[in-house]
Amino acid sequence: MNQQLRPPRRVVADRVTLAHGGGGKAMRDLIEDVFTSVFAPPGMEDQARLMHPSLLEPGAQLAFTTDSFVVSPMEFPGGDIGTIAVCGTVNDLVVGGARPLWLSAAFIIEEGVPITILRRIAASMQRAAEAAGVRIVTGDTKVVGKGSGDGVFVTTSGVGVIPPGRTLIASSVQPGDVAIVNGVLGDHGAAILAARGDMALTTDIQSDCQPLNRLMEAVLAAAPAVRCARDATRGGLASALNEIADAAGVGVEIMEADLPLRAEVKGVCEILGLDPLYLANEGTLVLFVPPDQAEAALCAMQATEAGRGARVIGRATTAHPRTVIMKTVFGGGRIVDMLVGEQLPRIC
Amino acid sequence: MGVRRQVNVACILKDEPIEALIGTWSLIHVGFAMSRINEEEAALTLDVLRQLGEAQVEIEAMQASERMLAS
Amino acid sequence: MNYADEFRDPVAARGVLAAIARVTDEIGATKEKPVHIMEICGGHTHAIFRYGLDKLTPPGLEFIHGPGCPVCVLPMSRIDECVEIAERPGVIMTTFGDAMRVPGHRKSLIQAKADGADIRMVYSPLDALELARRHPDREVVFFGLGFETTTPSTALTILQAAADNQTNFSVFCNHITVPPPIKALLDDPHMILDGFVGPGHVSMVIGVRPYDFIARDYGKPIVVAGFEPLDLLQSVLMVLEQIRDGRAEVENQYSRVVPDDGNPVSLAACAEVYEPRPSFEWRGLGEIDASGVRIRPAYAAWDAEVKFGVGYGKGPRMVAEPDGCRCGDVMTGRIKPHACPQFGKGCTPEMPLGALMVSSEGACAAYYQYGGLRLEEAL
Ligand code: SF4
Repeated sequence: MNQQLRPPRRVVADRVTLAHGGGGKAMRDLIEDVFTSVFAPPGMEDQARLMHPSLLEPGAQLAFTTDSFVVSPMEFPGGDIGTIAVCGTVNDLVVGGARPLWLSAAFIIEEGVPITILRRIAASMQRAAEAAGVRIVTGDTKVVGKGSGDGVFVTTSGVGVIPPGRTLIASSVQPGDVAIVNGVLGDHGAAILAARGDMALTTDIQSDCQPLNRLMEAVLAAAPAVRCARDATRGGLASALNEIADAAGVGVEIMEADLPLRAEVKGVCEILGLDPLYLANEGTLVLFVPPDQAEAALCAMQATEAGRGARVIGRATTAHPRTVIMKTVFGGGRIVDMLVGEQLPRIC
Repeated sequence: MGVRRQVNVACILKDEPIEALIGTWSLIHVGFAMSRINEEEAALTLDVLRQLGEAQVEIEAMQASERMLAS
Repeated sequence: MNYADEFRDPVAARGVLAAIARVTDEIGATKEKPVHIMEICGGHTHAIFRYGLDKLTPPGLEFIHGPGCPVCVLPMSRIDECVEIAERPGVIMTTFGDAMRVPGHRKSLIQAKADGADIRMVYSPLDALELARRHPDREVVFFGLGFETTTPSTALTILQAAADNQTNFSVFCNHITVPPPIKALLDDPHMILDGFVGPGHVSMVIGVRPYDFIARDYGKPIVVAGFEPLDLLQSVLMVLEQIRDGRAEVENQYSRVVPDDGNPVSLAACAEVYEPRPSFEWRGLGEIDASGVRIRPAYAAWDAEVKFGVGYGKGPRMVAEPDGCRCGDVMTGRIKPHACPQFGKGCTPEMPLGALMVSSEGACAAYYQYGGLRLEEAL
């Protein structure tokens, strides 16, 4: 603990080797130089020891979630695996009404990964954490042999507090409730597809990855009756809506004409035969709110950075329970089902 | 802007320099420009469609006013 | 103007739909005695369901979903051969994403990939050729499939490979042609079709003349159609008008893209590289004479069938389709997808049994995914 007595640890290698997972000096150097000096967790013990006044409020609930992140490529326009590892877990807490406080971060690193990439990932994580007002308080690193991983895998767990009186739960959605999204759909999925390069498409589309806690707090202050929110990550908006319809036993009807979509995302989808409703998002949520507070929720959202593109996209109905139907621009309808398997380009 | 991709234009190039294609629209399939959009034909097709649409709007308006008169 | 959005205008759509309803009435078609129009192309089938068009047209008009989804009609034996090539050491198999899930007897390409084969999805055969350039130590094979729309792109890629002498590149050719199966359908004594909506992108290559036999020999109208919803609706209207007037002609709704004579450069490339196969197997339809092409001996160096010694003429063909599969009946319009006993039970998009469940352009998959039956119950 006598940090003044020795110079800060430094990684000398330019790539990760198995030695960095061996538990010796190389590992300590890596952890301290690349991660803890950036995250600055409190103390330097093997576990974070934490207290927060909001936990003491009667009726407050602890919210706890975990998620693993694998993405290829690790760096893409608009973010990297570090950004989504923080935003994803923060947003998992946020859609439950929690105020996120602390995260853990565990890295599985494949031998051969350049140290500079790790530094960039750590910096992105810290930036995203600051933006979300959370702290990364504990973590772990492991190194696996070449071929046993795919660059870097990150697992983050998050802890937050749900203030007394908040119950956001999908099963509470009622027919008539209004569905609102905070912005354009599919940017993350399209950005990753283009960044992967196999399809040789170039675009200016950026991933939408962003923390949504400010947005959610603003909405809940303006429209406390919000029934539930879901982040439309893997499986896209279609999956989020189907989960809600299923849990609440209601039908959901959305309007094709009201879906916010960037022209470039539409373009990528038309070229590759993909459906933007199934593209992943990393900073997009859909929430259901009773009609009398829909306007308030929408305005509150639009007043935040992450919600400027907010739109009403549909509503819950008594018709067709547990089924999501999209009214097409012609007034025809079609079922929007859960994704079957992985969405593959349909070209020929 | 937009989505960019390299395509092969052999199928739509007549005896002309490649620059002749600048500003023209083409249908792209699996990385090949397959057909130049014939803008006159497109306009003709759209005209027919628009007329059908306008006629329908008029019919609907007439039906609506008949209903108004009848009630 | 971008030549797409204009053809999705809801106001114009209302007009065309009203006209469709009028003409259907004039023909005297009813729900009990409907007029049957086949959209040949899977792209059209997909568009019908995606935009919910079948729910907007009158009950007296029934769409029969044709065999024009190249992935759906790909026989199991060709997938088996593709897997066999992909699993050879040193091979990189490249394919359109469409083909990844098509079942073979042993496995699909997606399963072969999971088992370790190097299988990559590409957007264009040119991307496959580029891979060959970047990996001179590997054999890069392109799984060429599709109708006349896609056939020239593969031919031009082979010509490019020949010009560059790129010898580690080859094509496993499964290109097929649209007119022969239509003729087979028309020759079926149980045929109930009254007219056709023709695949516009095929005609952009071959023109409209190859369909003359439909009008001339079989007395059925056909309208070559574009792929935007308004294109499709307008083409249906044109077919109905022909039926009402007792005409049988080949008309071209998609004239902004389809020249009557097709595309000469594409046709020349195809003639240079391919020759017709005596026959080719279609899933659900069986062997059809002269319905596919193969690579000419002059380009054998880029023919994966020659290079790897697989394919037609090498060992017995297995034409058998799974038990209880009624794809043939669906494709000829005898039954609706959900009338097949396997629909949604033994046959789902996750685990397709028959051809029409494989790609979202297949009638059964489109029905399943966009909920033909459930939607009727729901609305
Ligand atoms: S449900 Fe399956 S087996 Fe039956 S017709 Fe459709 S694709 Fe063929």
